[in-house]
Amino acid sequence: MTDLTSAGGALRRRPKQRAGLAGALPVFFIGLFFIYVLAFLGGPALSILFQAFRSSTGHFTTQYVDQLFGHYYAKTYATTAALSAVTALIGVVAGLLTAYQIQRQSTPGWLRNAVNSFSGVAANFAGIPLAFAFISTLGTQGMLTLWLKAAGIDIYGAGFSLFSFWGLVLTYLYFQIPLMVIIITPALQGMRREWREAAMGLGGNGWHYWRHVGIPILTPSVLASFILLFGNAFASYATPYALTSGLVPLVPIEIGNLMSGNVIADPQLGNALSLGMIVVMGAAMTLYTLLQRWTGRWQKR
Amino acid sequence: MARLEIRDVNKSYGVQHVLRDAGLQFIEGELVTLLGPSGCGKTTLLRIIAGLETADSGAVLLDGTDITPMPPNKRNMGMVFQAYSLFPNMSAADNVAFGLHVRGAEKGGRQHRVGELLDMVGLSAFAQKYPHQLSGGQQQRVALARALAIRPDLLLLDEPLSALDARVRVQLRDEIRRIHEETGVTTIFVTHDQEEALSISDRVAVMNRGQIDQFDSPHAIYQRPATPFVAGFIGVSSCLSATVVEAGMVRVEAETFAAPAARGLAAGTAVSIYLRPEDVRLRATAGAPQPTAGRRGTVRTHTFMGALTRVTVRLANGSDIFADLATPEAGDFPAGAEIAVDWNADRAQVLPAAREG
Amino acid sequence: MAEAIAFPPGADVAPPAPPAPAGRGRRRPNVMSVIWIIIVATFFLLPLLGTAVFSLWAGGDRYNLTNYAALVKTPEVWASLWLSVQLAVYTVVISLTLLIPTVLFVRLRAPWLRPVLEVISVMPFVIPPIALIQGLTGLYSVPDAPLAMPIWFVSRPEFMVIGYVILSLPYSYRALDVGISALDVSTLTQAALSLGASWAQIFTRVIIPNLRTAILGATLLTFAIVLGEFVFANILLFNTFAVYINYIGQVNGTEAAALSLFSFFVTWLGMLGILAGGGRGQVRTGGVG
Repeated sequence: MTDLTSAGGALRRRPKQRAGLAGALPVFFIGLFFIYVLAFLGGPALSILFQAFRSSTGHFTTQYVDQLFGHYYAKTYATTAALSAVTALIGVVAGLLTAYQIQRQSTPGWLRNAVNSFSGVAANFAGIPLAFAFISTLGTQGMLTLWLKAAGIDIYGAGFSLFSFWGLVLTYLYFQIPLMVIIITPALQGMRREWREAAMGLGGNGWHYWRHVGIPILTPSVLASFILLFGNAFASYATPYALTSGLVPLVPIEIGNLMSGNVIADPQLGNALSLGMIVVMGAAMTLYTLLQRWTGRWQKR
Repeated sequence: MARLEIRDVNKSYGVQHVLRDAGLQFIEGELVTLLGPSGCGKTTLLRIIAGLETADSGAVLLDGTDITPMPPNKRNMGMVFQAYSLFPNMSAADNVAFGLHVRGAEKGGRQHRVGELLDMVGLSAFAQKYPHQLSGGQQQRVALARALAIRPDLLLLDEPLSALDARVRVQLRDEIRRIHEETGVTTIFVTHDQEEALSISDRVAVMNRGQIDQFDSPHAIYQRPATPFVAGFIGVSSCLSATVVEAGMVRVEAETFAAPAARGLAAGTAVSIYLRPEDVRLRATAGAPQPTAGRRGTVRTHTFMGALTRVTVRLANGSDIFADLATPEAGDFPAGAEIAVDWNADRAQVLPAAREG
Repeated sequence: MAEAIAFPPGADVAPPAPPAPAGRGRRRPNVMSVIWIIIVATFFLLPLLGTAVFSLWAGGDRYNLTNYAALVKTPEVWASLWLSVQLAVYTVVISLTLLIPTVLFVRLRAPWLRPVLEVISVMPFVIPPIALIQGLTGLYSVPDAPLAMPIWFVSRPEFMVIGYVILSLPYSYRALDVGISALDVSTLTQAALSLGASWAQIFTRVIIPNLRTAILGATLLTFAIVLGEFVFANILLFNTFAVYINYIGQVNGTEAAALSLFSFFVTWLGMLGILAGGGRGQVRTGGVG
């Protein structure tokens, strides 16, 4: 602004007006953004919190939140957590291995590019289309199921079902592994060649390098990735909805059922379930942030 | 301490020939610099010595033993990289201890040695700091201590100063020289900075396009460059095209000069005469006998460098020649002045004319 | 973070990989790596292959384009796709209008607010879509809602746009923030001011053109999110594209396969757009810096 106010005397008034307007604009737009976020993100969160603790007569109650710890909903949370943990664990290991192979010098560039861009697509290819892709392939009438049957292998006869817990695991891996590849690749690229070479030059072997340098440096990123994948699976709605139609009890599906009015129930219960979910996701996000910070301290120079 | 020999090393990446028949013999305990522009193969050569790259052909010998097939972790060479080579998850002390640790040195001795080395690089107070808490210069000192901790046969420094600020660079350069004198370890230092190379080394190997153009003391490299590339790369030279007329005599245009350096060359050879700016003298033409065309010129510009001023003179034949004069003296030759140029014939270097390009 | 958009590597400002060394013995890929890559490739390509074959199946041993032809002739396909596209356009417009000035002014005038924005931008992960739609309806649209909005609005699909803006916030914010970080906005602004430009001119002539790729990225990501969004529409019973695929899936598996494959390629196109945009952006910021 000093540039403008130092202009000639005749112009002095207009720049001042402009400075006033320019001062108001940021306040206006930033304010608008915050109002939007408060109204449509903060408000709903508070609404969930209040309704979860409000009886139908408008008094404070813990009966709905208590139900979360009852047999049925505790099992729902446990199943959701188990599904998330299993897919996150396999996703982390398989994604890390894949990303590591891809980052190696021996990997041809075209393969690296193909995997990177495919990961971007597959990590986002979730929901309804993914469910139908797996149904088309591994459903009771899926192409692979039929081919294997023709070859004498009856996977459904052997106890496999795409619409079970392990079927969901398999389907979730289709977006969990690529997501891991995407989030761990920068960490792997940050592993400087000099570290390995310095370790070699100082007389260490591959084991020494990984034991003292590689694994300690990657650990926080890997843990953080695990948490992100866990949260990613925990909140998934569309994929299990289309696949299992409620056969496997999962928190987001239960909330959806309570809301879309299939079951006549108190809306408060749905809010209590959502509250539980927000607590889980909030904890995951906090842990993730802390781990990121732990990683970050080595990146600072 | 060890004697290193490199024999006819070749290396190419695809069609790019990075090293051509590179050969060097090192004297025990000396500090040698591999100097050259980027892409000349100096870092590749260092990495081949360290075992981090494999040569296509040729051999690396340590105390007469061929170590070409030996993996890097068996070579006992300490290496310092350009930057960021410290293990970020370890304190300075743990970084220095790493090599001793993997060798299974017992804890007491390890701690003693770590203390000794951090003391040598002046970082005793920073033993427990992590790399990200250290400045660039401090990081390189720790890297130096880490490389020396294992009592290496060879110390390899890959442009260790190039990522640092100018002031820190000079400071650490002097320190490397001091540490080299203290430890006496044979050291190979890679740099593209000629000032660094000339000031720190016992001998300098100037590299150009994968070949070693000259391997000699800093003085010799500066005063008697062996190839046109070395003459052009090291310091500032003015170059005049000439032809040898007879032993020790060359002709520029129509005039013949003494040039003792041309003694070995056959008459008729096209040569270039290289003149260091400090060897060039200027004379006012007024009152003096009329100089010949080859030595007449016009002052074009003055570049003030403090005690000295570099005067650029355009000769009558169109080529430029530089003269470094004491600043007060340079005032006698203002821009535009017609002057005569002279030089110390004994110090002019004569080389076969530079190939085009 | 469920079923949401993740940035492909390369769309991000990642540190450049170290120059390729020819490490000893690392030129040849080892057998284990090759086997692993083959396993992973099989896992990821089989469902696509299965879907492709299934989508061409026309009963018995016949394979042809019948399913695709039938879909093209179904008005509901187009209607649901058109609805999703409309919602996506509204979401993009509102998101960009809210975010571009905010991100820019926070950078210029209130840098201390940046950490707050960072936290807000990850909040949609903490409050997942299913919880968000519950909170939104509980607060604004159920009959006895505390802040009930007019019924004509909440009964229209456009009501969901309010939430879509929040759902896409992490991605649109990040895309714009990365774009603005690559510019030295305050120097650019000072330079423009010293040349006598007004704020409107700075915005339209300097900032927006330099943010083109970031805006393109934010737009494509938001578009992809809204096109694939299922939670809101399924709960509120609006017939968007994803809801329609699910419906078709209950009736006709082969047509659902065809639509799924179509979705996959739409996602791919979107990602290619982001990658290409990101690449150009980097080249240009390289020129500026």
